[in-house]
Amino acid sequence: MREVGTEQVLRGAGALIIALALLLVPLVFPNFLVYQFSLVLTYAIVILGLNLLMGFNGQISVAHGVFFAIGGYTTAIFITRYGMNYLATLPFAAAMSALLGFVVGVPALRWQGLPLAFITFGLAVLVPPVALKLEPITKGATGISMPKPTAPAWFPGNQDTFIYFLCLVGVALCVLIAWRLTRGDTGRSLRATRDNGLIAESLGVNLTKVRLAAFTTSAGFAGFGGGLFAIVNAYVSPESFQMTKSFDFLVGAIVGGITSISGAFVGALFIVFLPDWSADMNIALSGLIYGGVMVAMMLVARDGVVGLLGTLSRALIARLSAARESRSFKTDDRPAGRQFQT
Amino acid sequence: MHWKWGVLFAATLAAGPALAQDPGITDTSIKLGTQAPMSGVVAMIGMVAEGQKLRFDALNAAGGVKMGDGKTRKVELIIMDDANEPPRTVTNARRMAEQNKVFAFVGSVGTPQNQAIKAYTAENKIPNIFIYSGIYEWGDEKQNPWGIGMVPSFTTEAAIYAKYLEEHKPEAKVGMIYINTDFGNNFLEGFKVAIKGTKIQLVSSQANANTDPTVDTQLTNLKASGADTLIVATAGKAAAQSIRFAAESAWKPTVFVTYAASSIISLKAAGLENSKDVLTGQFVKPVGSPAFENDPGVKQYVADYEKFKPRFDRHDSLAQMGYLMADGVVKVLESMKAPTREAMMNAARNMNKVELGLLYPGITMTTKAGSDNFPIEAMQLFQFDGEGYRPVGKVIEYEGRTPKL
Repeated sequence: MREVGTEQVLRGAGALIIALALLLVPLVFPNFLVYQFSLVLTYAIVILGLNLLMGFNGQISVAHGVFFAIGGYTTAIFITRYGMNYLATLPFAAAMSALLGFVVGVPALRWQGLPLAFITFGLAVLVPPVALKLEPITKGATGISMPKPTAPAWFPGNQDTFIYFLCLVGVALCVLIAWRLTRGDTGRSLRATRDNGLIAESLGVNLTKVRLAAFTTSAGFAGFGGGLFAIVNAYVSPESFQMTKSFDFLVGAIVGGITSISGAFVGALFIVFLPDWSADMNIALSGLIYGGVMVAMMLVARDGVVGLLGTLSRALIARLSAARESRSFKTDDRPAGRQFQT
Repeated sequence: MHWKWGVLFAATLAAGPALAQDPGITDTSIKLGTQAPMSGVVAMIGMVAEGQKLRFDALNAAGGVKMGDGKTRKVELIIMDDANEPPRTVTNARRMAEQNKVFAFVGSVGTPQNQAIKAYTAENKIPNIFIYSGIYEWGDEKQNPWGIGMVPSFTTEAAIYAKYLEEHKPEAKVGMIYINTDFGNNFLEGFKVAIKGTKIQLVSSQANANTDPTVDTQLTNLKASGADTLIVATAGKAAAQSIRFAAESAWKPTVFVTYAASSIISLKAAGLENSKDVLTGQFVKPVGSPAFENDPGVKQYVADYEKFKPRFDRHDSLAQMGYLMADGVVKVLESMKAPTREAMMNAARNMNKVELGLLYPGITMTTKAGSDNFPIEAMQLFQFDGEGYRPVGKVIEYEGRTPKL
């Protein structure tokens, strides 16, 4: 039987606490915060996709705001033009973004690192003006308004709570997929591609294929999050998807910790609430505070919040076990950020 | 029944409606919320909120506003930054309404931003008065049961330029550069309607996006179309580039520039020499002009500015716009018959020749529920003489006749 270490127990408990906390949100918080938490969940899906790509496969993307926008517009257009059920639009939102991810990925993924960052950055710059120009489809600067889904009769809660739970189901689905992908053969080949391409290749991993698959999946996640975002907001416009959105996601991913699933939630909380809080502190200096916190975060927690918590808990466990038993027991040799934590 | 009980009963009855009153208002205070982009690329527009704050600070220092129900209240203004992103406008609006419990939204900035909160304010019956956006839509009561604009509709502005041309250049061949948002589209459509039945021709219209690095292509096309008049219905750097192009390309058409891009600061970007003879419509008093040095409204603004030392330049036209809008809000508060949200909408929709300190002489605010939801519907034309704006002719007004789209 596999021995269950203290750390795994801690991690399991952490995941459980997060899940419980997410379930309790509508009971504890007022409606407008429930609404904001719905936004957090949609962002968390995008960051989850980004973490798969960056943390697990070692690729970078500055274009996830674009995939997010494609998903948002797909859902909005399918709802308003074709009268489609809002839930039915979500697979299309994911598929459209994944398709774009694939199309961009084919030529782009031959390069890694800086060139890839540069290409995806170009995409991030390119798409908002295109959304403006494609007025017949996107309604230009006016944007698209759509009805919000109403809570069905059987649902014991209001509209905000209902939409929140929709997002929660969406997130659960994505977490499940991410979790599956990071385990077993798929996870190993993803990691091998990241850690040492040459060795991975010699072991029979098709680098381009793996990278392309990771990029496409990650874009699909972003599209799915974008679709949910459109439903939560009931409105999309080019201004909802400014170029800075791509950076926000990147920031969220790094702040949360790119190699963790729960980090996606921390990162999403960060990018939704920190601008508000810094504006509350001093509206004139909000940018300064936001930037300052980012710098401070990186100085204190290079592997993100979850990475920092991991390091701290490992240190604690090490100290406890050292006190308990004299035989040397190394909890973990691998660097904190390199592991995919739950 | 003992008489004391009777008094108590009567007092309870009297207190009844007070208990059922709308949030954000007490006998001594009223809470209002506004939002503007105060960070991000267009953070300078945030000065609209700062201008409002100045007006309300001055009001509170003077004791508050005596409202229509006889009670004097101080205004507590909550400012939130939406960074020009409509989703943040929505979360801000919800926070202000549900957490801060504001009574109403005032002077909120931006077209898509206010469109994003339209459904929310309507659903929850929260007034969103004096939206800072000039699109025609805000005057449509059915579409906006709880929202109303303040500044002239772009259709009005377009009609005013058409009217001037009719008198001074009746066979003008007009080329227009317009921004591809509701702002520009309203302007273009309004102008087309305004020149119907006249000899004025719109020979070419070119759209630009605010992300275009340059508008040279559009202007080359306009010039090639044979236009002798250029209307600049776009803002920011595109407007400055247009003015510069018209002067430097040896085209030299008659140039109109929308009030939204007519501040001296933006003319400086085009080059003051290039901006000579540019025409624009305006409804705010020129604060820096010597002609208005002794104007009571301007003096009040300057006195408030000196007293509170806000963090904007005295000549910042966006801040002045905010000050003007807040002044309008004060007038609405004064005329509200009851301390309710509904009474506020009624007051905003039934204004009769309301004068404001910074509103140009001869221009007032008039609305009528059901038929006229455009507070300001007049402009004074000005021409730039290389240093400042000089008025041209009289105020042109479209009171109750804002041109439909």
